[in-house]
Amino acid sequence: MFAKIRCAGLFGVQGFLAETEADSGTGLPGVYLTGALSPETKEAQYRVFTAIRNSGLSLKPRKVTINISPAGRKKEGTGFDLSILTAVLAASGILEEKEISERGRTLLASFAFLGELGLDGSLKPVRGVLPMTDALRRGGMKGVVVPYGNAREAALVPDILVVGVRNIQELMELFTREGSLAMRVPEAVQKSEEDREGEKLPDFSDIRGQAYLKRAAEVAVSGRHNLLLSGAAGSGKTMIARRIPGIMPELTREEQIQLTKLYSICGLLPEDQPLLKRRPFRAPHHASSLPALLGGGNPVRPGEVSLSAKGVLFLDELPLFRREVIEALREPLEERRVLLTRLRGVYEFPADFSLVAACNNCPCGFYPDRKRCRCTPAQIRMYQGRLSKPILERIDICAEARPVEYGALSGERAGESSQVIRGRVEQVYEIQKHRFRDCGSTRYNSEMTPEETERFCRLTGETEELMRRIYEKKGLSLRTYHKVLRVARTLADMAGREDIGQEQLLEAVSLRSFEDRLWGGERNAE
Amino acid sequence: MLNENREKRALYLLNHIEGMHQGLLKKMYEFAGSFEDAYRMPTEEYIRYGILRDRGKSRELLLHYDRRRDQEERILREYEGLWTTGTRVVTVLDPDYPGRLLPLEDRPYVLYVRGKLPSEEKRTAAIIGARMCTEYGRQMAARFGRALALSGVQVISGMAAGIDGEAQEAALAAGKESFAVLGCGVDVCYPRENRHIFRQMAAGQGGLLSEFPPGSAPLPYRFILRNRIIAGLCDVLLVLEARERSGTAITVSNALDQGKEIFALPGRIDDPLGKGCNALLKDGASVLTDPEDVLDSLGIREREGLSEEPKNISALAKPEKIVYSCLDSSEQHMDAISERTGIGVPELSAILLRLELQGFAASPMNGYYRKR
Repeated sequence: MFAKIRCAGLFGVQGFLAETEADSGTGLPGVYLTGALSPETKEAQYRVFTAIRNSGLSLKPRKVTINISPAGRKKEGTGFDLSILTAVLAASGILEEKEISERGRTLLASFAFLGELGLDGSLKPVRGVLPMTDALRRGGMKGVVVPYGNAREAALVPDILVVGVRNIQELMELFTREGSLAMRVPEAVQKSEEDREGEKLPDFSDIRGQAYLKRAAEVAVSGRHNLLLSGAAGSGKTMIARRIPGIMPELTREEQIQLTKLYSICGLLPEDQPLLKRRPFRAPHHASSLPALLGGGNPVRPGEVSLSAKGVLFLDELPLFRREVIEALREPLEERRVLLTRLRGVYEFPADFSLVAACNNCPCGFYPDRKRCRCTPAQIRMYQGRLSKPILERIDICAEARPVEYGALSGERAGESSQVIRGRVEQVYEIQKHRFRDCGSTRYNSEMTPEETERFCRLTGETEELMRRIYEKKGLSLRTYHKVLRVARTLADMAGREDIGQEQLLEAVSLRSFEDRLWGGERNAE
Repeated sequence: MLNENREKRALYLLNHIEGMHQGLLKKMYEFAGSFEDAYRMPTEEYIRYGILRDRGKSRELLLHYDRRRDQEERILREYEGLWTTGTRVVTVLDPDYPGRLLPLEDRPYVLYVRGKLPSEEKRTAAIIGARMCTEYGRQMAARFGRALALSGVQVISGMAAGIDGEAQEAALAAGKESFAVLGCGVDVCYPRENRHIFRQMAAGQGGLLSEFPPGSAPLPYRFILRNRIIAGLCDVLLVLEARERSGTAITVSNALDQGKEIFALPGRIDDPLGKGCNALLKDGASVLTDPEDVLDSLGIREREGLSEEPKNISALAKPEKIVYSCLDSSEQHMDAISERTGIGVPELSAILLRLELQGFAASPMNGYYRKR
């Protein structure tokens, strides 16, 4: 007998439709599994047949041929187990024997099956259920049967029925009894959404002092500028960085789903939290490799730049990162996506992150506190020289942390909460949305092209005169000049002004990146 | 040119034997009676009288001495090429050799000079101190460098980063001459960030001096050696900021051996950079609180540039005045200024930059400001 069951596979962040065909016929008893399967997929035959036996079902000794089509497309992962199982059950006639119900027939005909089997017949969650379910919906499937642990994740996709199953016994019940099909979606997704409201997130009000850093962070978020925090060790750079996602506007539902898909295919989705609602904060270690940051490996997984999409990629100790790793960030920073070309095709992952980097000023980390720092000027120069210039060029705002003196913390009163700051940021986002409504890919002030900078950051009268004076006095480069204008635009938006005022311009200059100071700037100008 | 003066030629050649040092040169000279004879002296003679030894570390030097004639042509050719970089060779035999160095026991026999030599008549002050100095140290270095230069004192130093360079830069900026004694060849600019003053002095606004041949790398031991020349060339020595054990201490002990007067800038007692100076003061150095102290000691009557012209802050707007009054001579973080003035960071950063543009404030590094 022959049976055909729908299923889905993963390619990058996209799911694709597949079919598992099983044929049970005469010949020497055995199992033949085909269809360009990776090792872990191929092992399904042992899991499936052992699980069937351990679930109290018995198969006749037949020659069983299983093919997953399209047979030429590489398939990875263990999500095909359930479809193989179902196809074998159908093809071997067991379902007919057990008197398949009307519901069972509907399931076989218009549902897809995803999931991994244990030898005891239990069903285990798999990676990438969300994008696969999404692909199935778009492929016109009526519903999907998934492991119970994946059900809430799958249920995020609208317009498709989701059935969560714990083991083979439950699956058999689905096939042999009558009843509703939408019954097995576990305690509504809403519940988990409510859970999260009460959770305590790191908040800006936790930070005492560091007004300058906080201001820089708010400006950076408001205009989506990349940010570099410098300063002595232990001055709170990481604390600030961790709180930055919390002042970014809430994600839209669509963005949440996109993000969840990414985490889903990496298997990073917490089981109790099917939908990621918070903006991500990723802080890869400075020893991270190129594939870890950009994505890669086999099977190809998204890297940190993608996992921090819509959120913050925090690079602590920026000078300690390997140069080629840092410079490889240029493309994702410009393109806001990563393209990985492999033998089997081009993988595209999003990389729409805000970069927040932190660095000390010298190897020991205490500079400019000369009581504790004994680094020589040459050491300091060398350390700062390790900051990659191409990356600094893409950072609009630099802020220096104030070293925290012991005991100075207690007297400070708590600052604004993240919620208050977020409210302001949302307003600035609205202004930018309006400004760039017909500007193609530009969405934020930081993304303005030089032409757009000229158009939206025009200086007039005294402000222009002031800029000229600063330009001459500080010996700014043209690149820095544009950066300053973009940041000034953000500051003006924050102040609710149409034009850029002198105050905004001055503050923007003081927030500018220090690449000029490191490479042929100011003091050492000849 | 060298061939006209056989004695100078011999000295120059001796000085260029690899591994040669002042002590040995002196012994050879005293043994042979003249540099020419010293250069012609067979190796065996030196060995017999124990001036050169055929064992241990000296063996290498001995071999170089033995083969000195092979190098002669190369050394003389290089001498001919020196003028292309504007470098002169001044030996103890020359009339223009600095008189202040002659009495030194361990005076350098050969000096390489770019630009000028310090004038014999003018009073000379050396301003030295830590490389990693504070912003306050920098300001004081600039202040004393400028004031002394304007009053006609030659400012010499080691052109190091920090105090040295700052004092010399101020003297040069005042339009006066300054002289640097280097711990490397006079064609080597170390540290690099001082290249602007290096060029100025090489071009003749003052001069660069070194006892090490052109091309010599800045090695630590050379700085220790050059310190005695700084001590030798000056009439008074000003120490602005120094740690307790530092190169500055070596210069000071050299100067003391030579009977020079030492001035030290009082330091804060909890500041490691103040320790060196305070220790000097304890040992009897003069207290440096005013450029006049130095001028008095040098016996200079005509004074200029002493009073810092007071800044005219009346033109400033009110918040700017408030901020200016909270600024300090040492740099403060913007948050600290914000706390003291009660002005929020966004507004404050604009005010500070305005002050900076008008020359009232300076920002030595990102986020930090000080009075100017």
